[in-house]
Amino acid sequence: MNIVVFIKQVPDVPAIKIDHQRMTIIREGVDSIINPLDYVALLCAKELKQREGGHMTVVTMGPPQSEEALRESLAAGADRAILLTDSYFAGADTLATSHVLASAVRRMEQFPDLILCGMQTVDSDTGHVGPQIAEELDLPQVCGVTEILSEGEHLLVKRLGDGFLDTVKVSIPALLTINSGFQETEHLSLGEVDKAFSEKQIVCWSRQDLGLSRDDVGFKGSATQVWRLQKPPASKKAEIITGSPQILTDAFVKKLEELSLVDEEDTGE
Amino acid sequence: MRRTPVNNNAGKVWVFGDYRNYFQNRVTLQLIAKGKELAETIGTELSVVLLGESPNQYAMEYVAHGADIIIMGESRDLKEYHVETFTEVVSAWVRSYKPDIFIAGATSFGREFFPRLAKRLKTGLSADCVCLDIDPDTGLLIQTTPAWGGELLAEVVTPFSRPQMATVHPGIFKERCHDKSRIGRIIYPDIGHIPQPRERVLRSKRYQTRDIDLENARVVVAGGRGICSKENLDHLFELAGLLEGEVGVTRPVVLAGWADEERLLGQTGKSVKPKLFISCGTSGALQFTTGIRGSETLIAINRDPNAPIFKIADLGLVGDATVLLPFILEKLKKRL
Amino acid sequence: MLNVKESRVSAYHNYLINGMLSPCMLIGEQNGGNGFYLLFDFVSPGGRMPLVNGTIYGPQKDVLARIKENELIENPGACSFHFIQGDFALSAPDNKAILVAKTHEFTNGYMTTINARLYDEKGILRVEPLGNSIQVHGEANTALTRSIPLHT
Repeated sequence: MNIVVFIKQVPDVPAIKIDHQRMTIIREGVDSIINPLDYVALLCAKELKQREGGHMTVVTMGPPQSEEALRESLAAGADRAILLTDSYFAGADTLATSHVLASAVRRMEQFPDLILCGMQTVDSDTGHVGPQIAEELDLPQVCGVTEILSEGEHLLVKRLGDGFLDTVKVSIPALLTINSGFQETEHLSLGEVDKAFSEKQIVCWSRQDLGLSRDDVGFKGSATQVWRLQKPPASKKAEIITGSPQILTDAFVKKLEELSLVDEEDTGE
Repeated sequence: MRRTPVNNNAGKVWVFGDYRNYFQNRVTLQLIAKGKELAETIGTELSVVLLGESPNQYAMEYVAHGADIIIMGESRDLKEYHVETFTEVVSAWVRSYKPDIFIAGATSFGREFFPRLAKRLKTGLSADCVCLDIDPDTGLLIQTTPAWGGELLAEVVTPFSRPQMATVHPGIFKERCHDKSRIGRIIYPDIGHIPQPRERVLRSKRYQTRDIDLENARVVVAGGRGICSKENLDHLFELAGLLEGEVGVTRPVVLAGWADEERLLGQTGKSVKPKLFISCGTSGALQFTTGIRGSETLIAINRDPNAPIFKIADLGLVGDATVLLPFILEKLKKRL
Repeated sequence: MLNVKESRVSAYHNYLINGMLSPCMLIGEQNGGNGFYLLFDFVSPGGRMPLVNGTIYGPQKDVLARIKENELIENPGACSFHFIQGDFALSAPDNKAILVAKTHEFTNGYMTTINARLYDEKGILRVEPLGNSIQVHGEANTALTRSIPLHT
């Protein structure tokens, strides 16, 4: 089975601080990681490859430092890694991003049987890129997949959505977006990581390698633009308490008393 | 029968009628209310796109809740929701009628249908908007969405391509009341060719254990990344048990494998409306808060005094939840 | 340009006519004396439903029955008739159904499906079954060209 996994290198979002003066994010000191659900997709592809045999290619679109994410993917079991990088790719919304990623698939010698990506990213969280790649490549899509079973010319997958766990049959080739449900948390041995760095090569493709016009990629190829960033509104005036655990506990219980969730304390205690 | 002259106006603000799990799922009604506001601002009417085998009941419900026009596609082949099928039918209608704005609820289906449709139409789409407004100067739809995990809000516009598309999470806008006296227009455009779907649901199981009912819980105790371990999560279960509530979690907890998806709160999880919401070690990122804004009272426990959750809490306790919880549990066990 | 059919839809009650929801429909003249006349009248919230009115002709240009607000007021054709709980049925002496209307209850509204084979005073077929709806031939005023309600 020939599998392509799309990953994105994202900042470790919970560690991000906001510069409220300039309304920007402070990236310094924040680690870059593989988007968590993309990593789950990687492990999922690896498991499929082990079961069915085949080949796994990992692809990312990003600045040159995204190469780190690809190295990690190679160490996690990918056979080949492709970095799509070009200054013209910057500022892309999902429409432009999906165009670049879909074009990379069309450039491959063999069209994949399966394309996987995480259901959404922790930085933009739209979940749009997967369906948009599927649309451009004219592939059926199933989103929010939690389990993959195989069945010859069709795949049988489980997916979670709108309160239902569905078992879905989909024809191959197909694109799946992966949701957590795979409980894998693997740790890589140092030996595997070393091997990834020394042996496997990362291929780089630019805008011209993909045969794409400047108008169709990056900022120019985007339909949406960010006008402005703002702070989320603070809607309540909170009573903030600092202090010892005893003080905090008292404040907590007092609030519960106010809400009649516990009875008031007997004064004669 | 004599054909009356057809008014080619199909409204310029469209809402996708997602009627699965109706009457519980009310996001379409919420979007009809918001859509009407937008339509009135730009001087047009609000239409709801409705596809199904015979979705007559929903056509009437949508009109009752404010829709001016129903754009109806009736066919046995539209009985089930399929992304490719709906994209094919709806994109043809969009090309014909050229609406200005098209919005959909960010249900699981909406989140995978709308991007495919936007790509087919080569137009812009923003996800999980928390605000939608018309800019008075440019007339553009300002789509406000969470950015950077909800730390900031981004105002997004689609300057050139049309329609301007957006998905909206349930619970953001308020629906209008059901009005039996309303009358609307209904149009039945040609459906055209319906492709055979390449994916098919074989089996469907409701994914909610009977004893976990987060959506209706009176007290919700929520754990986030700051909870750090499965053992600490047990403290939350204990607290919830003492208060007769339920435990909810944020995505990092699900990713770590400490809790199931069915306890997930927020943007892609459940929306709750408890009397009391207790947040332990969650930062308050918007994707999470969109699911909890129905809470009457919110108590937040977080180590970081600058955590965004303190901005929306009624009571904020600055401390390590994992350290504090044993104290709280001890005191409560004496009192309850 | 897409081909499109159009109608109106009421939040409370609709008939299914020509495969479309419609709050009311009129063929012929309401107080026109002779001649084929059929009125499915607009139902206001809380009102009785459906509201069937008409001068029913057979294929031989004979008047079979006259109906006013679901009641049989003249029956020269010796038809059998009943109206119970939103269901209306008019049948010929040989038990063949002439006009049957069934009202379905939704959570917040109602829909009436109609099954009918009706001729006008010239013996021309004007109404025939179409799935769970009726197809209307010739001139008819649906809610599009008449302001509603028609019933006063």
